[in-house]
Order: sequence, then C-alpha cells, then structure tokens
Amino acid sequence: MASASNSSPGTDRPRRGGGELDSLATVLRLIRAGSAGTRHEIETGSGLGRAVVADRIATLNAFGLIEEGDLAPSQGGRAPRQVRFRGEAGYVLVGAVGNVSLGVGLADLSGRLVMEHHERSGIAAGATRTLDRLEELLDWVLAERTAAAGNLWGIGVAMPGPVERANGRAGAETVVHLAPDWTGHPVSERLRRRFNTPVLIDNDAHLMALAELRAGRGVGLQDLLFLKVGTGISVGLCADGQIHRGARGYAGDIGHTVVSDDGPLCRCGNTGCLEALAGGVALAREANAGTDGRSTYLTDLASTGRPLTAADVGMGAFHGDRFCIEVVSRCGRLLGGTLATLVNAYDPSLVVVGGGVAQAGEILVSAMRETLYRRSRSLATQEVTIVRSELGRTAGLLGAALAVGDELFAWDRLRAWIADGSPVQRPVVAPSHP
Amino acid sequence: MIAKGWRELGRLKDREFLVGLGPHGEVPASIGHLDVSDRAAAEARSRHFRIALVLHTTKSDWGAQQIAGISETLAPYEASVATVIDCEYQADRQVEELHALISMRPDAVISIPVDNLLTADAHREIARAGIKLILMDNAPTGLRPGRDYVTVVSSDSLGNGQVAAEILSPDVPRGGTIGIVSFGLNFFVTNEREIGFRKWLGEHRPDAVVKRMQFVELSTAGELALDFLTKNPDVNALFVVWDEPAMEIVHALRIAGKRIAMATIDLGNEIAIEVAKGDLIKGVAAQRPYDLGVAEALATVLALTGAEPPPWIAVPGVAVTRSNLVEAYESVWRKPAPIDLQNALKTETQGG
Repeated sequence: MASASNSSPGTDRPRRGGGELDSLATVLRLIRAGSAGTRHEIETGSGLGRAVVADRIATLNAFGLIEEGDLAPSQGGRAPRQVRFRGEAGYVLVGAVGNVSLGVGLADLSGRLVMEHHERSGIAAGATRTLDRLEELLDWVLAERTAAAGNLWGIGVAMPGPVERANGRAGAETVVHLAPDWTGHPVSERLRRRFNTPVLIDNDAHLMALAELRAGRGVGLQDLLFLKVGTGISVGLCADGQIHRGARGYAGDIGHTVVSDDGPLCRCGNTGCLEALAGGVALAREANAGTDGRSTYLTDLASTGRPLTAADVGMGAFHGDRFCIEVVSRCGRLLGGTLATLVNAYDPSLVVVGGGVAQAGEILVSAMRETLYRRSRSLATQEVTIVRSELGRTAGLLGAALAVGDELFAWDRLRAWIADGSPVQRPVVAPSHP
Repeated sequence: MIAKGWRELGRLKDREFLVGLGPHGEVPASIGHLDVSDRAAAEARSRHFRIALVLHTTKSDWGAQQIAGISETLAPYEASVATVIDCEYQADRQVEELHALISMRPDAVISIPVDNLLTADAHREIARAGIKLILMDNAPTGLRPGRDYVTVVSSDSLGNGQVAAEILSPDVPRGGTIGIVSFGLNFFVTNEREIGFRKWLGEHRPDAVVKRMQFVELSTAGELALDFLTKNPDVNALFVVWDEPAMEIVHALRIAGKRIAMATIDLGNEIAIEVAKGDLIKGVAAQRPYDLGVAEALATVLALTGAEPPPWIAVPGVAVTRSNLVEAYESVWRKPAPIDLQNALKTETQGG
C-alpha cells in the first residue's frame, strides 16, 4: 500500500492511481461475480500478476469487502484458500409498491434478503400516502437492524408501471407513469433526500424478471421472459443476463394492448385491453358475478361482508370451485394467445409466470401452456418451457436488491468509490446508466 | 376433531378476515381450505405416515397444544408423530437434529425454525432428501414454497398486533406514550405483531407517541423493561410481543412496586390469570395453537397424498379481555377454564 504522505484528501487512506483503481475494481468484480474463487483464478481471470493480486486482496480484505476462508480443492500443490465476496459488508433497503400490496425488505450486497414484510395496500391510496407508508416501513426496518442503518448503500424500489429515466446520468430524475397523481411525482428524489443514499426505481416486471433469472426459476440461464399477471399485466425481458428496458424504459408494458374490439372498459379509457379482460380487475369483476350462486365458494365468502378480490378467485380455483376454475382458465387462455406472440418474437429459453393472479396455482399456467402450444406452431413456442414463479411477491424486492447491486458495482461507479472501500461516505448520485 | 373442509368446519367465531400476508406476500388461506378427500384419506390410512416435530420448546402451553392438535388430527388418518424434538431455542441444536432426521427418514417434518438464517441450509436439506417440510411461523431465508417447503402455517400475526393495540388504546390518554417491548431477533411473527400494532396506532391513534425497547434473552426482559420505564416516565402503557416476556415484566414490576397497563399476544395460563385479576394485563390477542396444529397436520396429509396445499395458511387470533376470558380460554385451549382462573375472576379488580 502507498505511504501515508500520499493519502486521499479527507481520509487516511493512501491515494491510488488509475491503474491501481482499475485493478482493485477488476479483482472485486471477479470475486463478486463468482468467476474467480482463489488467488490463482483471479490472476488468470484478470491477467494481473501474483504480487498485484495479493496486494489487492489485502486491500479489499482490509475494507471488509472480501474474505479468504476455507480451503479449495488442491490443483496439484498446496490447497488454495477460497476467496469470497462479503455481501454482509453493506445493506440495501428495498421496496415493492404494487397495485394491491406494499412490500419492504432489507438485503445485503449479494442481493440476499435478510428481512421482508408485505401488507395489503397499493397505489390507489395515492402517491403521498403510499410513499409515507413506504418510508414508515423502511424506517422500521432500519430501527430493527441498526447495523444496516449506519451502513446503507442504496435503496431499490419496484413500481407497477413504466419508469422513465431521463438522461440516466448524475443528477437525472426517474419519472414514474402511473395514475395521474403519481405521474411526475419525484419518488426517487424524495427517498434520496429522506435516506441520504442512492435510489433506483424501476418497473416491477423488469425487476421480477431479473430476480427470476439470478435467483429463481431461471438460474443458469442468460435469458427469460417474465409475465406478471396481477391487477395489471406486463412483461419483463432479460437478455444476456441483463434487463431489456427498451429505448425509454417502457419495454414490456403490454397490458393495454387491445385484444378484443368489444371488450370491457379498461382503467386506461380504452375498451378490450388485455388487462381489462384477463387482469386482476377482470377477475375481481368475475368474483362479484360469481356471488349470484354460480360459485359456492365466492358466495360464501361474500357473506362475510368483505370485498372480493382477484386473489379470492384464485383461491377458489385452488380449492376446486368449478366457477373459479373456469374463470382462471379463461384468463389463462387469453394470456396464452398474447404469450404466443411474445415467445415468437423473443424466443426466450424460459417463460416464468408471476404476479398476484399467478398465485392461483397451476390452473392458470396450464391453460396458458395449452393455448400457446395449440395456437402457435413456431419452433420457439414448441421448445419453450413455461413455469410458475416460486418467488411470489419476494421477486420484486429481490430484483430491486440485485439491480441496486448491479448499479453499485458497475464499472464507472465502482471506480469512483473503491479507493474508500465503500460508497457510503460519498455524495449521493443518480444511477450511472439508462 | 377431523376437519373435512370449509363447509363442515363452519365459521370461526372471531375475526374471519385474515389481515396479514405471508412471509413472501402470499394471500392467506384458512383451515377451511384444507379439504382431505375420501380418496386421500384412504391413501393416508394405507400408508401409515410418520411425522417428526421439531419445536423451539415443548415446555410452553403453546407447544403442548400444537402437539395435541397435530397428533389428534393425524390419528384418524392412521398417521403418527414419530418423534418430538425440543431445540430449546438453540439454532445449532436444531441444525444437528434436522441432520439426524434425514437418516431417520420420516415422511414429513413439521418444524418451527429458531433462526431464519442459521437453520436455512439444514431445512433445505430436509426437502432435498425428499421429506415433506411443513413450517410453523417462519420461512428460513432463501427457502421457497413448492421447491423447498410445502407451506407455512401461522397465526394472523399482523391482525393480532392490531387487536392488541385496540385493547390497549383506552389506557393511553390523548397525546400519551406507548412503549413497545420488541424481540431483538429477526422473527417473522414478532415482526408482524409489532408492525400490526404500530399500523393500528397510526390509523386510529396518530396522537400517541411510540417508544421501543428490545430484549433478546427472555430472562432479561423484566430488568430491561424496568430500566426503560425509569428512563421514559412518560410511557403510559406497554405492548409486549408475546406472553412469556410479558410475565417476566409483570413479575419485575410487582417487585419494584410499579404499575402500568399492558397487552400482549398468547393466552398462556399465567397471562390468563393476570387478565382475570384485571390488574396489569388488560387483554391479549390469543393465538389458537391447537387449531394451528390441526392446520399443520391437514397440510401434511394433503402434501403426502399428492395435493398442493396453499403456501401460507393463517389462523385468526382471539381478542381476549376480562369480559370474555372464560369463553376465550375454553375456545383456545379446548378445555374448561381452570378453577384458579375462575376464582381470580371473582376477585375484585386491584387498585385503579
């Protein structure tokens, strides 16, 4: 390490040149990605010499970002020590604002969720009330985990609508397109000021797709298509291991595609939208229709006096109620038709179906699968696998944690803070790329 | 009692609307959703399933009722509890016991994880060994329904927290202060109780100030609470996240000659006597441990006979105050209220 006379301003750490920063960043990224688990693998992967790697490992170890632990299998000499990234070196707060639910959690830097809470709420409560509640819950998480409060590296929030990133450079704002009182609401700026930490906002289907790819049904793959079926319907696409957001961040916003000329009125003002026919609002409408006696399950539930939701139809289907099964199956058939177009266009390895309505069980996915295979003869649809998400509402939180981690350890951003060992003391900046 | 389905089970007399979502945001299912068909029942009887129970403690009233609910529900299906393990709140003990169970090869394990992180791998290994895993109260970090476990069965803890707040609110004057005695370890159910308590206050008593203290070791709850109250003399009432630390605090307050209104979760025998006295404990939101055991047993039978139970099954709590204590006790514990409880009810309320 350099002498104390070469300290960085404001710290007692030695100033580092560009070459040293590059090599520090390279070594850390290799270890964090799991691409290199021993010193030899780091030397091979980075092209750096043994002494340089040893020095960088010592520095990263001193920062608490990595540790050398158990012995790895010998390759014909002394067994090397395994080097691992210490996810517990920092924490990320995460949130998932939904149409009918609100979730918060705490994750470490490897994206592992150490705590989560979900409650019934949603954007209909309005931007101010919903964000007040989100902040209240995030405050509670930090009070519960005081170690995180002093070591917060960022916040990630999933939102149920298209998210636009203007410019995508330092000082840029993220704009959320939802109901009128949400559009233009400075969500990320509010949270940034409140918690004095970088904030990332993104569309929930995008983040859920990322979660499925890295920690769910898509582990080991590089691409997948995530279909979120909740109150709204949207798609998240991952290609080459990354989220495909499109030119402005609107990719996947398929819920308001008109699929029927004479369908019901949609909340967007159009008629015949996919969402109005197969989304959560449609199922809730059917739930109320079923209380005329056609569904014993729903009629009995309605007698308790509480409003029925799409989830009740799903639960009814789960329980074997014929009316509910038919409603969910019809929803699945409609979605299967749309899915056929998407699969033909993108040829994903895997389709994962998630969202509130998907919690109804295999009935929805089976109906989608059957329609997809029957209505499309393309090679893409014949080869694709369609499965139900196992992550539930955790997917939004997990995706947010992974996305914040990707931002924090993106090359340019990492080089900006690596000399200090942590970005926590540095001024807050906006996300580094669109 | 054999629960045959939601029609025959009928309604639970108390709150039927389940407020809280599951550990991964799942919509709650109730016991009524656990319908064992005649075919499944016949299959179960022919296979004589063996179930292992892994509890944090078998010494509490909660644990004893859970075991009773599970055993009595399994019996008509000719399934049995092969072993009951008491981990004594120790995570490393639980890990060791779960590893040992893999060699024993029960058909299913019903377990309450004592630490979500430290026991995660051991629970996952149970599932990977082909043993059905039914969880009580918590889902260990990283485990997923369907892939790693069948279901989580728990009380509606968010709802119970709200009930406790409603019980305690009259003892807090306008602009007064409520203290929360919170558990210092990351447990889903205690987290949810506290969030529910705070949520109710936020909606119905925005005037109230909330202060919080935490404990980790049960035996320290009394001393820490006394210290907290000394440093915060403005606290008018205390919510404690379950009955055992609440009783530690009651004992500590009595020794110190202090009095404060309290509410808690669970209707253990000691707490029930305190509610009857009408003194410090104003009421509780009671879990239904026997019914939780019924749900766990039914979910286990369903999973072992090829069905897919819902991933989150919740049982609503019971709001208990002095006015409905006997009825609630008998509903929760499924036995007559003991004589000392009835005698305590006859005694006049002590002091104001």
